[in-house]
Amino acid sequence: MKRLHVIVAMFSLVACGTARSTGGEPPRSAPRPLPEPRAATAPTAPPLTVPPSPPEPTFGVVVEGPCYNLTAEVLENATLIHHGFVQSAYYYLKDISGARVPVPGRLVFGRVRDDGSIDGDPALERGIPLVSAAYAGGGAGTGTLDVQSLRGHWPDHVSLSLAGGGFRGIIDAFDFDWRGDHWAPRPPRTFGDEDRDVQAPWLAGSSLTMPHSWSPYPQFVVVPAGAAPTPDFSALHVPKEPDCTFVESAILTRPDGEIFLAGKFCGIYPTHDHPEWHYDGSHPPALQGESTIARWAPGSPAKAMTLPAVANHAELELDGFLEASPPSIYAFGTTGTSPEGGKAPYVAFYDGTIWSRVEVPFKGAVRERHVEPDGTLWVSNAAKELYARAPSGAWAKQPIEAVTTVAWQHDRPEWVVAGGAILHHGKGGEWTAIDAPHPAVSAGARYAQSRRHLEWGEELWLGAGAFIVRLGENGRWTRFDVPPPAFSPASHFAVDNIFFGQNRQVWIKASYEERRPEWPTPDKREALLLLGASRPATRCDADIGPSFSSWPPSATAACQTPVVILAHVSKSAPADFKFPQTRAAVRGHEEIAGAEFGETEIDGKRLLVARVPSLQKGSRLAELVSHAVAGTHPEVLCAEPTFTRTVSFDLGPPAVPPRSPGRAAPRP
Amino acid sequence: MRHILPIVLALSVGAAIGRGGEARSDESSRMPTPAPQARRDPEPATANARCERCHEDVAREWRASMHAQSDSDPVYRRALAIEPLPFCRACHAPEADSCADAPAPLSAVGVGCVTCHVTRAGPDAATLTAGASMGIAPHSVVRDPAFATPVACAACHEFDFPEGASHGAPEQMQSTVSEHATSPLSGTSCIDCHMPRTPTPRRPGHRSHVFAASRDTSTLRAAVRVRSERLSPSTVKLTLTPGDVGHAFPTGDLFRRLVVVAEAIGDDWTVIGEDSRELRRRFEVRTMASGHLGRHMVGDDRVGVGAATPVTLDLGEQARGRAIAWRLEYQRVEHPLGGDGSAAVLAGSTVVTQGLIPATLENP
Repeated sequence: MKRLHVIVAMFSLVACGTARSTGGEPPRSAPRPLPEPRAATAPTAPPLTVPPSPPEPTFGVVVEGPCYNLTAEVLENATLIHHGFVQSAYYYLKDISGARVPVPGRLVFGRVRDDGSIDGDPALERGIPLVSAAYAGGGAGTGTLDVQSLRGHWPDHVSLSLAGGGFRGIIDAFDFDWRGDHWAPRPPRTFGDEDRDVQAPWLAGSSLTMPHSWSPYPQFVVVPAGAAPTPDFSALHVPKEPDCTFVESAILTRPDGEIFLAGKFCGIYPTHDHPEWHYDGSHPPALQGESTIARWAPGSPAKAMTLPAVANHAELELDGFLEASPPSIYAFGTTGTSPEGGKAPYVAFYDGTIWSRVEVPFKGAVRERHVEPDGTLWVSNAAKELYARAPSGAWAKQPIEAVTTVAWQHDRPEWVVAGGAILHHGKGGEWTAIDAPHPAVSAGARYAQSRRHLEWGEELWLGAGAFIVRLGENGRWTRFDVPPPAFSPASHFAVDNIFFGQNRQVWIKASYEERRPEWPTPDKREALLLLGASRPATRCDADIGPSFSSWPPSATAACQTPVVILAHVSKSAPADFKFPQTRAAVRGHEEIAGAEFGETEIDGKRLLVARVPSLQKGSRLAELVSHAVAGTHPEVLCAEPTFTRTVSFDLGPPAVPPRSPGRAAPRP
Repeated sequence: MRHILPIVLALSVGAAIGRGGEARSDESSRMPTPAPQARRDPEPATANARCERCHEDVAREWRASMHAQSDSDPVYRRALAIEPLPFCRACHAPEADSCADAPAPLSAVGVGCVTCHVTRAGPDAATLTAGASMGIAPHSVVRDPAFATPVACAACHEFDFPEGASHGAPEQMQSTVSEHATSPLSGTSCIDCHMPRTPTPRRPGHRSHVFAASRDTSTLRAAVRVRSERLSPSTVKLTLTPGDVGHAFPTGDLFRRLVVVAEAIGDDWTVIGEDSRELRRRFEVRTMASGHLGRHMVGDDRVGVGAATPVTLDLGEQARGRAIAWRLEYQRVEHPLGGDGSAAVLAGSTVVTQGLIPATLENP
């Protein structure tokens, strides 16, 4: 009922937009207040358009399961998928008891065929080292190496880059070229301390990086070396005891060489210095300063800038800049706690001379922010609201609630998923609810657009929950249901992302949770879905080579080899143990005929299992044993275990001993 | 067990008939040592085959040993693929260039006859022995009693982590020889346990070159004694004391551990409660004085380090009124993962000993 109410409200918005379009353009920053929802105003909405036949293709699961960072890389003429990492253990798996299982990490690749199936040529792993050369050279190297990029033209010009942080405190990066049957390494990039996660574009096509050296003041390295002047922030070095560490939070570089750097600077507010971290007692505590912004320009020493005061400066956290028309800059962050809980928003404005506080009319921390060429500032916040701030300084709350997704066009919100509906933001500032196929989009929607700049008439895809919708070039909305996970019938997908491949391929990255009877918590699973894929889904660890899974998937009706895990048996049990209570539990139950009992071992555990002809029989067997044998939690999986020994159970009716004259029949 | 073994073919060589008699005494300092020392023989695979031809019975034992499989053992190969260090190859394929994977013939030699017994390259190469030479071998023989001591094993069974060695903060990766020196059996040599005398009519003083250790169940079971007691309905205490073992148990590399397991037993031997503890060395990665990161041992609860190793396991309330099965497993693992080596995939397990505490014996 509540959802229906919201949808009706959106129809009302359409009426507002229609009226406005005939009455001249009101200021964008001051949209009309949301009228009371009235169903009678709804008919002015664009007609509901249902796609006629021919039927639209459907999404099919290409790969799913216990993948790690499952990704489809769209090359110029092919799509390669990969998941995993190298150089470290994978701890995501659980065994039957719920314990984490360490599995050596590896990178698994597959090439997507035209029908959506995966060509898991093992050669695609050939040449990838399991550890970085730096590790092999004597470092500790326990960080992971992930795919940083995979691009080119298959199969003649494909390049792969792996990168990751080692335990030694530097980043390892390795590049490879595909040679038809293996990856050939390129000469190692000589990254050192200069290659850190802090990066910003710099002069003459170079970039700035910041060594992660626990420095007390900002230190930069120019990559490539010597391509441009190195910014000098040494003037901000304030010796502290114990050691104080500068912590970077945001950087803005300008074409003229001016740098604005936000972070926690040692000694900037010395009375507020506080211990930052301890390292298991073997290191003295380190300090970090408090937040401010420092400015550096070529030819002058760096200076800490004065920020407008806040109630408790120690609580100020800066998290980003937004450059407006020069010399204006916005800085965003949080300070303290809002009365409603969560962080309170902090916005500051730099006019080229001083920073001043921008008062905001909302409570939630700023999330997305854009500024239009005319100076209009748009922000969405943690309260799922959307605000515009006119150049005059007037804030205007947009008449939409529960904003979950904003599609920006020229730094202006164009499409918004809010309150369970999709809204279009017209050029005149009006909000028009789009009557997308019901049920309407819900929270957590993601969007993709077919071209860099979204304009009416191009494809727009929005996804949430178990379906996505497409706004086609014909202006019609089409709903596409997302199928349930192939290997976990008790769960459903959440759409995490939508993206496009070659030849108008539409991909969905989705996730779900896999649950098992003995697991205290579920495990996250990942999946890739492709519009039009018709082949059976591939599990991450099947067909494309053994990978991360250590425990078979749950059986579904489609499973050809259902097996019931009946009990975790002590290894101290006699090798020829007869399982009398399980034997008694199944005796006489001919409805599970065809079950073959035996012992197997998975993950080092001794298990009593039964191969069964069908999921139905497996479920029945699990039910019988769980009721009769204390401590068991049978479950039906899809697997083909090898028996370490067979165990014969008689499923026929119990033998009835002949009655002896004068004696009562035995009790069951 | 391939890493704690003495490398002595000496006695069999000593019993052989030699041509050149005993060589100069200055050869005596050339104990077995891994690459990248100068090659002791330009063609070690060929030289090793020559040894095998004349010493067929000894060679048969050696081929069954982990020394012969030091470079071909699948677990080692997988670990080497993860961490292809010359540091590892130096001991596992000592006859090959440690900077590259060993060619097949040298990989097959592993720690071979020539690794321990051939003292140097060239025409004046001698065969090292600890016993007396009979002077009838078709090669020169040098006798050194030290070859029968732990000194002969130390090069591959006592060494530091590579990062510690290079950055001045040594922490031992393997410390078997040191453990032996402080054990109650320090008066005996490695060979007394791992190369027992197995006299043959032809070689009455012969010592086995199978190098039986952790792969030998009886040797494994003799190494530890376990006493069990139920402390409460849900807890059990197992006290482990050293048996016939002259070093920590387990010793050697990081690919092995003891695991004490206790299980509350439900119907049909179903495990309804479980607890376990690993006994091994534990390391942390710390910044050393040089500024480099290196491992620092922060714990060692192996058997034989200290008088007794008490292990208390809690099986939870579900153990009340139930029998408790316990066992001690010797586990070999794949390449340890993580900073402290705690995580590893199981490569094999042997039950050293086990017992059952009946439900009726539980404390009130």
